[in-house]
Amino acid sequence: MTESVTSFDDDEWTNGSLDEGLNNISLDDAIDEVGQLDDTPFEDSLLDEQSQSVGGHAAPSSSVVAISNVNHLTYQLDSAIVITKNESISYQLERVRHVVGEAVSTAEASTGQVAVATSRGFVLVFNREGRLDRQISPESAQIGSASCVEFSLNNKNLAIGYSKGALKASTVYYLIDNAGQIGKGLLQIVYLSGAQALLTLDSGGSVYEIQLKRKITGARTYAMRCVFSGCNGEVLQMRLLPNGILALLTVTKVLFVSTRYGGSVLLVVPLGMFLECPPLLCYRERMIGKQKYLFVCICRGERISMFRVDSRKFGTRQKAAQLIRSLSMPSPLCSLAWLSDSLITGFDLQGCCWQLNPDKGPVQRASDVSAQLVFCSSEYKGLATGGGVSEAMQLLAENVAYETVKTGWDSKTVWLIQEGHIDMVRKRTQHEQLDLFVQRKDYISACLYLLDVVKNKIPSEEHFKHQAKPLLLDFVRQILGQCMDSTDNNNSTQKVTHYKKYIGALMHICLIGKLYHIFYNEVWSKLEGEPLARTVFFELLDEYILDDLVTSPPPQLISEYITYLVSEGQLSQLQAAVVHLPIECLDLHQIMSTCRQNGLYDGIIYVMNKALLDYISPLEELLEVVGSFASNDVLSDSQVEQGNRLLLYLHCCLAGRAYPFGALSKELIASVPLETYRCMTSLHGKNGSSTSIKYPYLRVLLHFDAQQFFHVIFTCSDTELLQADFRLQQLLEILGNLVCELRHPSALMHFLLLISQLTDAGHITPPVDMVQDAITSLLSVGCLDETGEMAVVNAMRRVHQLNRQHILKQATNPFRPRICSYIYLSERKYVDLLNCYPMKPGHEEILELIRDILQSRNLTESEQQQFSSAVKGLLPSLANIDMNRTAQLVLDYFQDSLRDLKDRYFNQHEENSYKILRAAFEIRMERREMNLSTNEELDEQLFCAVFDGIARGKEIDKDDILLGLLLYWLPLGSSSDFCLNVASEFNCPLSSCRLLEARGQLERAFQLLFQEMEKNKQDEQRMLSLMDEILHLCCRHSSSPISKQWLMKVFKCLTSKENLQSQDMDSRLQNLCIRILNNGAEHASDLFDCLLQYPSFSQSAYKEKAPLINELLSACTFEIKVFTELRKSMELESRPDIQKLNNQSGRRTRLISTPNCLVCNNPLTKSAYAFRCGHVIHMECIGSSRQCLCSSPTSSSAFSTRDSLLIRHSLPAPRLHKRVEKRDIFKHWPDA
Amino acid sequence: MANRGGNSASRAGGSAGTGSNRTCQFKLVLLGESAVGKSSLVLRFVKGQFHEYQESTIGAAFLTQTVCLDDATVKFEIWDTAGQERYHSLAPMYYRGAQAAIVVYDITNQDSFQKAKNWVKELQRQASPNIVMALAGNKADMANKRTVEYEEAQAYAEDNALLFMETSAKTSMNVNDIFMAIAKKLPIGPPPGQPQDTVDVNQPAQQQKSGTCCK
Repeated sequence: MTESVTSFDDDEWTNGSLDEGLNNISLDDAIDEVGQLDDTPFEDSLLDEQSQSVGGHAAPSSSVVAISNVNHLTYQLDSAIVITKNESISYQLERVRHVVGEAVSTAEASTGQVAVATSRGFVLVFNREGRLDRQISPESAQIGSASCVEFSLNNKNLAIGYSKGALKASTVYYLIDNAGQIGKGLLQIVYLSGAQALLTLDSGGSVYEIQLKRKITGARTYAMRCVFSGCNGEVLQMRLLPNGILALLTVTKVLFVSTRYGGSVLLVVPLGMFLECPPLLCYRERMIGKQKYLFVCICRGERISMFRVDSRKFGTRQKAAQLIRSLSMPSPLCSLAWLSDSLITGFDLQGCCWQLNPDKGPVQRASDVSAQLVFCSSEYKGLATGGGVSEAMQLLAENVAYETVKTGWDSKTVWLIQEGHIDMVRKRTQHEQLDLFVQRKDYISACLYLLDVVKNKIPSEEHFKHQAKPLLLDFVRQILGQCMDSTDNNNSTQKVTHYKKYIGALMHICLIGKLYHIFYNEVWSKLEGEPLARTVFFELLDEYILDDLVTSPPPQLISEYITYLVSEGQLSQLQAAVVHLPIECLDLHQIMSTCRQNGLYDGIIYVMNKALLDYISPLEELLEVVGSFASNDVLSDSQVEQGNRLLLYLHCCLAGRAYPFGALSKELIASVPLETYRCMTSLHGKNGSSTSIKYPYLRVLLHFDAQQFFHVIFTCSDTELLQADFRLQQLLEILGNLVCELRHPSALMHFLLLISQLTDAGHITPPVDMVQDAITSLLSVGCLDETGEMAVVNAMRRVHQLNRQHILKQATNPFRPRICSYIYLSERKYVDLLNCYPMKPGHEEILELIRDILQSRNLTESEQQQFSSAVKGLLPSLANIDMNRTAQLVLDYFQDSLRDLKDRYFNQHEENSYKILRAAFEIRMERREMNLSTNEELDEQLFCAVFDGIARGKEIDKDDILLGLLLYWLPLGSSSDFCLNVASEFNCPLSSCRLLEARGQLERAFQLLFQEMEKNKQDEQRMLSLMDEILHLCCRHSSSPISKQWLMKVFKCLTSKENLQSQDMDSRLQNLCIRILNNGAEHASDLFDCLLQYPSFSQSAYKEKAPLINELLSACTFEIKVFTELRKSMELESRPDIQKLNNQSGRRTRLISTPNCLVCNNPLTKSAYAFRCGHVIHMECIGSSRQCLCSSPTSSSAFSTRDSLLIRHSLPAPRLHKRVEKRDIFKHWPDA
Repeated sequence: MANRGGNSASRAGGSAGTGSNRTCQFKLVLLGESAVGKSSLVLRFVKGQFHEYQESTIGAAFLTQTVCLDDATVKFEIWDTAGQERYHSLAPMYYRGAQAAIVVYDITNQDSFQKAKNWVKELQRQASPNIVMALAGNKADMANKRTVEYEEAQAYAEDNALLFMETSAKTSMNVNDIFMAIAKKLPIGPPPGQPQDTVDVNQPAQQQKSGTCCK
């Protein structure tokens, strides 16, 4: 009989082995791909793309609080997880527990059936209502405990795995003794599709594919093969994902393999190294835009990672998975389930439930949910098959709860096997959450929650949203009841707090939720009768009114609110609130009366504009008010505020905008600006006859703030109103006449600036005569600041037909530098400009002007010559303005005038000339430059001039000044005797000393200072300074022996003077002592003698002068010590040489001192004599004497004189032969 | 303040919203030429006061007063409009949606009566068709200077289905009566106990108010 096998093409995904499947993407490639996943999760991208799924019930959220002063407008959600006991199944299991054993695994079918596998191999199948439908008993006790159970995808079949490796599929039709590796128990069963293809996982970590087949004869058979061997890394759990993707959770990684394309590996995600924790995976498909994405959450221990998987990118070079989020859990998890778009939940090893918003929210513990988990340890330890599991399996077996905590078919529930009962974990519904609020009588939270639902801030189902609205009204009434029930609050403070809480919430809920009817007719009606509540109500209402949230309020409410504000004196709030209230609700009489009484013109303007469409009356009213004080010299803050309001209102009206904000209707835009313009320019004020003065309103505006008024004109200058019918031109002419008439400098100045701006913008043709008149008027006004002058200059720049000569004439007296400069510069009359400038302090700009002319005016040669000549002539005058800048000018541009300046000084004794030179030297000195001109001789002469000028001057500290100059310019000053002579002549000892010192006459320099010091003994300060200078001199020449004597001389001189006992003097004497001692102790004795004669020293206690005495003694000790040490050092250094000499002298044979013959100087290649003196001479060279040349100098006749000298010179010192004196030892013997 | 007359309406209105009484709220507008005594009438009705030299109303003034009828309490939201011509444009804003109107004229001023007729015409044209209108000939205390005959006014009122009374704010004559007469003529809403919960929360309050007057 031919056997026919039913084909299950769709399910034969494992026909190609995994190895073959790796051709698409190799394992390494896949791991690399994962390795390249960004470590930084990009949460924002997820959130941006799926705004529709953000929020939800998962995490506690708070409604948006728009009003800042309300503190009670947040609410806290309860945990999003609910755990409920399945009473029916639990009861029935408990009843038969002694027969079937404990529940070990559950499975839920989409039909609502629940299968529970037990420890004695039974499987109980319950229907949707929890009634026992069927009981499947084990064939024999040897089959062992059931370990896993699973419904087929079509819900028609059930597969049961046993701990000893058997598999029972299609209920009882297929019984496979070993559905995995022989001797291994089954851990998990997964149906691939339909009911004929399934995968089993054994305790060896291997995955087997089993194809259930049926022969034509009806006989049932199967084909089984291993598709993943545990030796590659044990698989611990399998999850079938959408699109035919199978996730294999191994010990070290998660493999995503395709069940459709030959089992190729699509993706590999490495796992963390929490080896004792089972790897977990949950997933959810979510829509982002129009695209459905698979989101996968992988957890190992405390680490959770979320990926977005794009199945379209599998097999391409693009990344198929992108890390979205990565976070840590407080404790390691043993189960994970994605219950809704916004909620992932998991149990940790202690049974605590954790919830997490996958989009953004933090990990939170579901405080009221915990479980006593049952773990699948025995299966993963392989206890039924005698162990034989890997160490990795054993390590995590204690923490595995794959089969006891199992996600339901729709992923909305988790079936939980606890000790003795079966529970269901699910997401809390919005109704349940609301009920919890109501149970707690927390109606505020309930309302805020419903408000979020109504406002679509929380995603919710339509039916709940529909119910939310009437519920909201009910709860508002409940809050109102709670609000009015303030019996618990005894004192007023508590009452106010109570009212603020409830009224704030009511106001927020009603106004944000647009529950105006209940708010106005019930809330307000209740609260208005309670004075305290009423006050709080009005207090809280302010911000809602300013935010325009109070729509169509009852007139009575507004009337009483206004009355409240007036009675509380909150006039600014009143003014601000009025413009936000609908005009039809306002008691206009009340508002206008209040505003008029208190000068609240914003309110008046608003009412007049909105109610009466009258834009001119408020303007006229404001003009009248401002006119009453505009001419005052000093304005109060409130007056300034009124005036500014007028200008702003005028601006709005002219520009065709609503005041203070908003837009006008088209009809009003056509009429209001024109009416405003007519009002503003009315000839005789209101009704054309209120005053005899012309243009009273323009005068008011000019008087109040001409600058701002012209600014208004300028900003409106491009409007149709002012551009049409030459209105702007006419307005300017009127304004021009007025400002000339008023002769107000500010108005004139800003009028000219306005003309300039408008001309620049091309809005007007400049009115020449008007501008000329304005300039004439402005210049005829006494005081004119820089801005005023610049206004005239700007006007002259724009308006070319002006009579400049007339302006120049006016600008010359009184002198207007900027105007004159502009005119002269524009006419290239540079010399005239110089001549017109007053040469006195305050006109420093002339110096910059000269620089500007020289640098950037492109002068012609003749202009340059004339101008330079003029400047040179004016140099002494310019020095009066600013000496340093004049000197700088000379150095930069007029070096050739230096000699002239010197000559002027020497010949005409012109003081400024030397001062310019002096400033020039100082500038150079500051810049660390060593010359003034390029001519050294000239520099010397210039310095002499400066030196002479200072010496002849009347400055008290001229010697110090000269010394300061000399310190830098000494080479110039000491090149001739001129400066020395001048210094001597004008008694400048310090300078003289420095000059003498420079010429090497140190003794004269010292004597000069010393004499000067003696002369000034009465003037202690002077003496001290001279002494300092002497000390400096000695210091500079400390190497000179004479300096010690100078110091000693000074010291003696000073100590002989009894009355010099100041503190300064003491310190200087000490300094002097130290300096003397530093140069050696030879004067120590004298120094001490002098000190003993000095009263300050001799009469003082030892303690006071101990430092000085110690210094003195230590100097002497130091010197002795130095000498001793020096001697020791010398001995130490010479000792080796002496020793060497001694050694050499004691040697019998001296080393040959030279390798050559002493006579011929040739190498010793022939026979030679070596003498005791160390010399060597060839036998043929020595002749017959056989004596060294050194021992017979006189017998060297054989050598020339030159050679003899050379030889002698090169000879080493002859060895000293100590002649041994022979002693006659028998001398004193008795004659023997 | 000249004198303080009886104010039965005010006293009667004290129990608004209590017991089995319904509280009905009505918008009432006073119209008429300038200086005919609209504000004085309202002031007398609401506060029982009278000022010999009442200041001219700017725009419109708002006051409320409650009167008690046998089976209901009527709360008047009174808009006292300004009579000056410049404020004429404001009037539609106030009589729009009003359930009652009192057109006031001065019995000593024939022009004011003519003006009152104009107001009546305007109300008939522009205001709600169910508006309860009353014609008040004020300053009845100055009957010696009368220029508008009672009969003439009454005939006009009858022709136009108006309530008519000659009043005196100064002496308080017929002041409360005319308001009471209006209150009695106003349609009182559904009996108490009818559910009010089917309010569309998104519907503006103004629209809701037009549908019902009692709560």
